[in-house]
Amino acid sequence: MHLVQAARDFSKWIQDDPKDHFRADHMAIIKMLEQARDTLRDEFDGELDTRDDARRLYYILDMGLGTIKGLILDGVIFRGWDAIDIWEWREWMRRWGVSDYTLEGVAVRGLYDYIFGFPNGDFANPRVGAGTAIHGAFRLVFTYKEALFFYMQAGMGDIVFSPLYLELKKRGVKFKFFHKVENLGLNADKDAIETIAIQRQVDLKSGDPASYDAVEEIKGVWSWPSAPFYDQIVQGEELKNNHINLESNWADWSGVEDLTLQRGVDFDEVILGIPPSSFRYIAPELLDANDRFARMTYGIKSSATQAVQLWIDKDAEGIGAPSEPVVATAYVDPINTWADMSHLIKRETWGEDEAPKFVAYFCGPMTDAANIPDFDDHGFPERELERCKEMAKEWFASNTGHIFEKAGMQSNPAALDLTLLHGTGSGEEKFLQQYFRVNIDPSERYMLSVPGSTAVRLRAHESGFDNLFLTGDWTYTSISAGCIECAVMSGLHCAEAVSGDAFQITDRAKGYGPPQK
Amino acid sequence: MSEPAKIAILGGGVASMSAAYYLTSRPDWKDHYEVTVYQMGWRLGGKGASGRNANMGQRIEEHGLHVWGGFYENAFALMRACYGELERPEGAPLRSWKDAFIKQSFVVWEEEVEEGKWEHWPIPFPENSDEPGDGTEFPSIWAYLEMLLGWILNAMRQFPLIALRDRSREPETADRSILPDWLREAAMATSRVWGKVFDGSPFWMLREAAELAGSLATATEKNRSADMYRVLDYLKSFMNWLEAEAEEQIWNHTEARRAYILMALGATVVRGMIVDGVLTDGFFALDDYDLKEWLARHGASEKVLDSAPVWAYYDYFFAYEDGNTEKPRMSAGMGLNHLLRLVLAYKGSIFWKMASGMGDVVFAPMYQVLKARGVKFEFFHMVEGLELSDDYGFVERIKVARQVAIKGGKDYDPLVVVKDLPCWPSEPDWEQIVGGEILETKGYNYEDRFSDWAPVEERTLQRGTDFDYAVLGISIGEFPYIADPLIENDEDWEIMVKEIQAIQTVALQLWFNEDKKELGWELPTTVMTAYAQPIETWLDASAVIPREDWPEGEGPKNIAYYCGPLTTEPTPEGKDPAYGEEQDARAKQVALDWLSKNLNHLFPNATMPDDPRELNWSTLLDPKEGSGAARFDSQYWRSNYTPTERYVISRPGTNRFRMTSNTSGYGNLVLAGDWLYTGLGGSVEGAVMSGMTASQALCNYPERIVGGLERNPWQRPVSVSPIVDSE
Repeated sequence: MHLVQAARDFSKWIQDDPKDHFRADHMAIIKMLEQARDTLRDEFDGELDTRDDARRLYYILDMGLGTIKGLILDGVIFRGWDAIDIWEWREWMRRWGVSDYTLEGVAVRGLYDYIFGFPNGDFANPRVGAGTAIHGAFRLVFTYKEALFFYMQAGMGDIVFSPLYLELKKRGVKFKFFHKVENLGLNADKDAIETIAIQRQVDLKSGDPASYDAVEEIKGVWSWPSAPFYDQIVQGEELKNNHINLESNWADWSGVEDLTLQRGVDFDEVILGIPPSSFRYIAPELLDANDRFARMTYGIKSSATQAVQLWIDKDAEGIGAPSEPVVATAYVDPINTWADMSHLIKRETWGEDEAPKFVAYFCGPMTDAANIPDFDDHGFPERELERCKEMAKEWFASNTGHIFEKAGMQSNPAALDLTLLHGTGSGEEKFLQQYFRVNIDPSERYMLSVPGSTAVRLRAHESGFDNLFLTGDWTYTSISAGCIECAVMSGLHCAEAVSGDAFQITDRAKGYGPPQK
Repeated sequence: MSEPAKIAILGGGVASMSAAYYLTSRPDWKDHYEVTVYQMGWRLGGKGASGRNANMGQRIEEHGLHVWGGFYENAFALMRACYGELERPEGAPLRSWKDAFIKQSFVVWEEEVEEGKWEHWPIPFPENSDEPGDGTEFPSIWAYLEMLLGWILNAMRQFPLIALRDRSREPETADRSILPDWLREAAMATSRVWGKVFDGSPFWMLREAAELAGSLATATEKNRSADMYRVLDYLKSFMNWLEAEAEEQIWNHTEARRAYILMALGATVVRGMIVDGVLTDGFFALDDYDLKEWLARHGASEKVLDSAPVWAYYDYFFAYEDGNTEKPRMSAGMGLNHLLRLVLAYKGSIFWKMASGMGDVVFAPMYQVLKARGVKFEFFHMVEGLELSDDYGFVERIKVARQVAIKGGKDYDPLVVVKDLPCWPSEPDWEQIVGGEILETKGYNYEDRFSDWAPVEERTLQRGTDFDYAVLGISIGEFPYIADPLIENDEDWEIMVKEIQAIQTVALQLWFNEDKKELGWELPTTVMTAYAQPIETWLDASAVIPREDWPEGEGPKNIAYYCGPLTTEPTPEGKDPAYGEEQDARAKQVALDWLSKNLNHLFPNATMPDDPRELNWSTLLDPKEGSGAARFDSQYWRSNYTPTERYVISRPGTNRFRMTSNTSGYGNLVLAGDWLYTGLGGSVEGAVMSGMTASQALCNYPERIVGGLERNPWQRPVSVSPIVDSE
């Protein structure tokens, strides 16, 4: 411990700017840390598997010391995080002496789960760039304010998107719902967006395509419904009766009108907020015209995800869940992350005495179907949802006992007692009344940070096309990983690029100078 | 024991043959599987196929000019093993691999000293007594840097500007700013410890950098990185001094300029590799840079970037996007990895040339050995399409067009013997083919899918019946024609096919009546490059003259092979017999145009004394005794236009899209070809390595690949499980 202390004191004592350091200073720090770790390893030798506290401490120290050593010796302190982003994170740590014991442990696995770090949902092949992983982890663990994580006190739509929607509407932003972008067309020189083909999915009864009223007030909170307000839509009945999902590309629905927006008439600048996983469908001309754009599109990689929500009739104590609400991760794949979301019960409108007592959300990557069919295969979403339900059935039948100690069956404590679920009928029936979701549409896929992908990310103003600006957590930002913070930063960078105004952006990424007005 | 599995090898180029060789190298291979090679047309060889023209003195007609790097460790090992197994009798031509390969260590670069004015820059790369293919491992990256620094030091010792050389040894007492203070102190401290004299002279710094690098080569990684920056600082201080002191003098002095260019390139490479972390990350870390861009980023000046050695290297790889010489683009990572091996790790000689056509030297022996081992060959089988299984996990069917029928239903016997050497003919042996007499007159090209031949049968190879595993050894340019279901099913295939570009090349062969001296080439027999584009490379191939069979006294005295990139045009969608003719006509035009502008500088006597742009046609050998320009028609030229024969270039930022042999994504599909990720550029060596990995994927053999593949961050998951487990 003294050695770690000494290393920290020493690193505080030397100059702030690493360029002013002598190599010897860095070597001294590394030496001290290495000795500390070795001491630790000897001390706990043989006890790691049995002593939870020792093991966890060892994980942290082993990883921490290896990381510091690597950051110094690989020149990250000079060259920035991107310098090592070509490395797969675990391989990089292994190179700097982190033991396999730690690398295969839960702490490392947790980060992969946290960022869904499995391209195409392939659990055998976890991949995340070392620079992105470490920077992201540092930001998460060392720079949080108040709490590591925050929960939303209602659905994300209600918390984030209703206020934004209402405020933007007030400011005069027009919203055209039910407009699905089908294709971006280029001009003859292939350097600007000339046309945007859009499928207008429905007719609104009011006749004005910008008039859809999108949110409703539920218990005083402006909320989004889970299906469109059919009564505002001319084709409402038809959509409802045929269970048409207008958010799915595979829906058996071809819209009511094919619009073509024309540059100079309908738009001048384009902000593309749809992710690269959609580009092969909506931007083939751009992929052909511009290599960097194509490399970004294919180089970032994505993963489908799946989610299960359970409503349970007993409270945390009753099912043996942790008494304090938790977010837990690194559990059994694929839905390896879960959170106690019981605080949302009060936002939902359950009848008197009918309210569930515990709500749990589960999520994780979804292994891609062997073949992702063309959009005319309308049954595909249903088949994928079935696959999710099958998975969930098996998963809860073997992995429940460990997290909800008292929710197991008498005969098999690991299996969820389905009768505890909120709903009607038999356990099986109740189970199927829970919520299952597969995020398989190209635009729903989670954008990854695989090794080497930071280098192919484009900045908001770097689309390579004159009037096209990019925004999304898949663009180049200081973190360059799939998360709300990146999406917001990218939005700010994009707004700067389009408007020329400067905004305050904490941790402005390289290559985004504030606009010089 | 269960039924042996069936392996179908699609295509018969270097990668496929290398895979077939290693697959059948385990003594017990027949217990586990059978191997069948499906080859379009009448000969093996892919981009390396060559043919003997029976109507023209059995002359050799190549796809292009091929020389082998002395570092082609795996390729030479394969050839040595193959010739060993061949056991040709005493007195047979090309009896051993040493007869088949000839050292070509004298290289010439062409320097454009002013617009349109060229000077020869001869580089006699020293030969050594090592033998390529002996299996010794390549030096570490750090050892390369040490060699480079040692070489720079030596270049300074022999620097042609003597006054400058002497001045570099004078201590810089007046101007101490040449070294940063801390480094100066460190240097003095080191000197005190080791008892050396510290004088701070530029030469001292260079020597110190080289020595430090030498000691670091054996140091542990920990100490290394601390001292790397000292090497850099010494080296940089020295180069700064050299440039500040003598730039003017250097550029006006031919020898000094050339020495300086090489020193500057060497110093830039050392610097860039240290700063960009190649020592720790490996070469793939530089893949996103173009080589010139990368050199510029580490301080190479405009003049150095535009120098002959840099162009020579782009030429070596046909590194021109779309075959357009205005667009030189090469991955710096691939380029440096390949370059350091090429110039610092060659065995025997930097280059080796072949003593006969590549078909005769490489593919006839491979064919004979594999045939004897029990490999089946199906000639005249062109792959038309791969189809996937219902679960998208396997290649289920392979559609193959059988191009001709062989008389009596026999196997096609493909070789001809020319002066006791088994060779490949430049046309099919029509006598073995049903209806051959008629087909011979049709002018079909059975190596061209756009040509007008009609298949005699459409075969469907079925998984489980006709094959269990497939080795796809057909080059990537062909994939849009044969692998659509795979491309559509997997984004990684889609981007790979899109980004890994295969370009057209032009090849030209001239047979001269006069020898090189008479033609006006005063320097030794050479391979020349960095000359006027697009046909910037020339090999004096006269060494193959004894292997051709011209009537007594009527043979050539000199044979010249030329090649270069050709502006690449899209291929037709389906049958289009005119396409090939157009492309070859284009190649002819490019060749004539180039010769008229540029032959004079190489062979002054092959042009007219009064007009250097007019060829002296009579120097060309023409068995048909044509007059004037008609003599050219008896020479050989081709545009490599079919999708499979296009050269695969390594553009910056594209290596990440290359797959490896066992990561196709399908359980029974193994890949082979120099377009895979090998860390090297398109080359025989890359192709052999990919064949070895293909074999490893199926039978865990060979155990070792010299200078093996670097793992790269873009590695896909392994999809193929081997038929034979490792022991």
